[in-house]
Amino acid sequence: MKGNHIGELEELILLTVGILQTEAYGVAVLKELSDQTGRSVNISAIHAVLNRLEEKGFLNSQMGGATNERGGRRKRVYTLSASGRSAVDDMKAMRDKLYSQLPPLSYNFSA
Amino acid sequence: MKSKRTTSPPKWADRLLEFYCNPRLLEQIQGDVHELYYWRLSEKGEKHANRAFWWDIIRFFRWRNIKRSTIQQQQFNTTAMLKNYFKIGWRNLLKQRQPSLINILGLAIAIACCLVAYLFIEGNWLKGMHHENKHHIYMVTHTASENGEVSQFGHLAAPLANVIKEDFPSVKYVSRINNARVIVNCKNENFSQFVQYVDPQYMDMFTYNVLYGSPKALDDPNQVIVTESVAKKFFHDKYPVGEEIRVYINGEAKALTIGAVMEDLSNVALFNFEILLNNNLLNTITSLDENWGKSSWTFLQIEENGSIIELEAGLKRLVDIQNQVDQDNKYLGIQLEPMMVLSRKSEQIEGGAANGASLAPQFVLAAIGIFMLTLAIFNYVNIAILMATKRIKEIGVRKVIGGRRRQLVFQFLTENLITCLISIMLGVLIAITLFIPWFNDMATTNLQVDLLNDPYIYLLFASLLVFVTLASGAYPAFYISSFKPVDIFSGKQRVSNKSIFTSVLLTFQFVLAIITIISGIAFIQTNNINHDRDWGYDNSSKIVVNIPGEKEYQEIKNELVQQSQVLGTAGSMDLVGRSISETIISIGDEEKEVDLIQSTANYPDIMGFRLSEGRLFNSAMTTDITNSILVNRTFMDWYDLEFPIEQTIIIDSSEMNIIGVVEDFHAENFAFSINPVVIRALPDSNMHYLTIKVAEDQTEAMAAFVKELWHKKVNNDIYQGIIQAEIFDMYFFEMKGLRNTMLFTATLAVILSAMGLFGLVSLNINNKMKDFGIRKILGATIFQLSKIIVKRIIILWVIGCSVGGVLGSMAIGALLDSVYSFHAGVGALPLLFGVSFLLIVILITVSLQLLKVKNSNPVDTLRME
Repeated sequence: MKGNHIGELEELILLTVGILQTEAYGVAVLKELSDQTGRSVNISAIHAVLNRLEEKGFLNSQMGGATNERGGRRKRVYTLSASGRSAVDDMKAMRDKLYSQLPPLSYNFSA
Repeated sequence: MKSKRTTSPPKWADRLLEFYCNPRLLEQIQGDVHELYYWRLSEKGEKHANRAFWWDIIRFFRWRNIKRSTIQQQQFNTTAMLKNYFKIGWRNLLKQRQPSLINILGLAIAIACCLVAYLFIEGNWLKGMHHENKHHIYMVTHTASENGEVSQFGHLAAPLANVIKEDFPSVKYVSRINNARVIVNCKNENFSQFVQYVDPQYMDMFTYNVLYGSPKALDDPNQVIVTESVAKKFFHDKYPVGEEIRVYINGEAKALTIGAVMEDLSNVALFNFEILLNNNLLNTITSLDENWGKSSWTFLQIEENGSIIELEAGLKRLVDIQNQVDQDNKYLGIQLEPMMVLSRKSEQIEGGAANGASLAPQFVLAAIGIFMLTLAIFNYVNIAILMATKRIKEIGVRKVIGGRRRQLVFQFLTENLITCLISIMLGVLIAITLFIPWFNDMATTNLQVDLLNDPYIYLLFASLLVFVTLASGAYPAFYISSFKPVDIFSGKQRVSNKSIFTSVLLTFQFVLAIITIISGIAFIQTNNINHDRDWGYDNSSKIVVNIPGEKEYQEIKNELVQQSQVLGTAGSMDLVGRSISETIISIGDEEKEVDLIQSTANYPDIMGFRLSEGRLFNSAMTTDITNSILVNRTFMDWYDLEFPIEQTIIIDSSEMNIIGVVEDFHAENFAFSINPVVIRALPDSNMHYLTIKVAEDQTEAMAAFVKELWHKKVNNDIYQGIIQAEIFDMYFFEMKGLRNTMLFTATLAVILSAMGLFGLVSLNINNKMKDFGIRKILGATIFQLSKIIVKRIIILWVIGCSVGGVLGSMAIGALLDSVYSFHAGVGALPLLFGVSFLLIVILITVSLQLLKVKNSNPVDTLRME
């Protein structure tokens, strides 16, 4: 998928990275996602999406903090880029706009 | 938290990840899966964590994460490395000229032998492969029952071809082919030629290289196409197209024009002919299209997109047509046989287009090729090790600076490849310039290396290249690359000279050499025996001529009898020494097959058959001509008869008395054993052959006279006169060719194994120079020194001789049996000669090397540099 279209999982992960601020790496995203939305996604899928988002320019990344559990290996930490932030904003605006046009449920019982 | 330390992720899964993962991504991925693992471990326990870990690893196996080689870099390295290998290989070749030359020459000769053998065998099995449309051409065959047995026949009733042409749109071309031998008259000279009568579409179907004239020439029934050599024979240097020849067809001369000249047929051609004629010439009162009694080979070419299954099913209709018209020759079915399988099915299809190839010569040639290749490869192995001893330091250096064993092996094989490539090119050159012309002369074949049209020959070259490179190079490469650098530089490493491997190779070479020597000698011996063999009759001062008819017979005979030089003439139906008929006789209730000679009554006397018992024919007695026969000694032995015989013998339902027994004589050449022979007298008229007995020493002169006379009296036949004593010349010529092949093989085998021995001994001696130096100082004689070297070789010679002797006498004995009916077998003489000849060659080869030892000065060899 080329262009700036964003899939549903991509959107969730983009948001999660934004929430986690400077602590967003594979496992953290996975845990945050499952805590907040209850979705369990395979770690390889998270990696794939993170890579894709970085290619699209919504995320930046650098290698960072090694911990004991990782056997001293560094993690790739992602941060939301400016265009990532605006993509999230656009998406929310679009959703709100669409949502606001929904007729209220209460008028609907005659149908 | 403690449990985290004690358990760790599954090792194999982790290794798998490390194996496939791109190193640039490995750190983050591995970190994440490990972190997840420990998290799951504390949350859900070890089992789940392990399983999930495996699953993660498997899920990470994505295109993006997989390790890829950086192609650019490697290519660069490989080219540079290969270039270096070739350069070093080339330098080594030039530096060690003598052993390189031995190797290349040996391999080239062997490859040339293989090429000749290959071409010969290919010619038997890939018949017709030069035709462009070969995959679309089929022969139409039929099955019919004959004497209660169902067989497949290669011919088809002539009118059916027309039905095929008209009723089946998927058939592109059809041609009937009729083979014949005809007499062609050109400028008042007669020639006998193989011809094919074909339909004009024949030239569209089969690919022939037309040199002059138009390939469409056959559209005009009065035009013919001849091969180049026939055109040369007829018209010499004159431009042949448009010239006229007269062809005798059904006894009637027809004037025809040369329409085109095509290239001579090669040995892989499907057909064998010298002239192509139009089928219309065969039309008699009825045209060929309506003549159901005539059957021909019928070939068709199917359209590119035509379905052969549909066509074959459709052709079943022909069976009904045939069975309706010709009640006597009912077909059971019609089959299409692809052109390229005809030579493989030659046994199955009766009267098919390809002759069954006799296997014996193919085996012999293949065996010779394989023998030579084996010898050359073994030489190569031994000599390659010798050559490597001189570059042992190079190997050390390469290893020290980090060359891996695999790389060294590869390097040696690359160098080997150069040698093999040169050998193959040289081998092809030797084959084209020497071996193939020799072989063609000897075996009267037309083998050609056809580099343009023969895809299989490249396959042969490629497989030879790969095979020879690996077979000759693998052992030296692995052996040499196994040396340890420390040993090399400390001088401990020596190329072993007592290696069992080398000994086995050498022994095997001796075995092959012995076998070929035995075969050479046995063939010489047998040929000599046969040359001096008594023919069983007096073959001197006789001329035999063929006679076309009754009128000519009487005329020629009457003229000859008046000559003072002519001592007598006799007519015969058979030509003793060349063609004898066979017949069935009955003795009592038993039926026997015997050879039959029918002749005038004075024939046995003129031929000089030696009477053993009874009497010869008497022309004055009429009973001798009506019901008397002579038999040979073998006849009596085979059927256990004693002379005189009361019992009568029935030939052609007439009763015959045996009036005499003659000594055995050779009615056919020495490939055939002596069969029981019956000689029967006929009235003196209409004989096929006339035997003329002339005064001594007048044979040559009279032969010329007879030929002249014959040409005066006969004008529609070929003169086939021959001097009786020369009747086996053709056979002797063939046998001489075979003998020469065997001798040639033996010579090559001996030279190749001597070359190998030379290399090996020189290796041994070089390694022992210091040893010899010390011995020399202490007063050893050259004889004592040579004993060290010679002893081992003599042991190998003894082993080689005993194995080779046994194998050789069995194999060559069988070969002699298949070629000759009369031979002395592999006796003591060939064995003894072969064994001692090999010993002499070994000793000479070794002595050449020992001279080096003799002339060496211990001061030079013992000084440390």
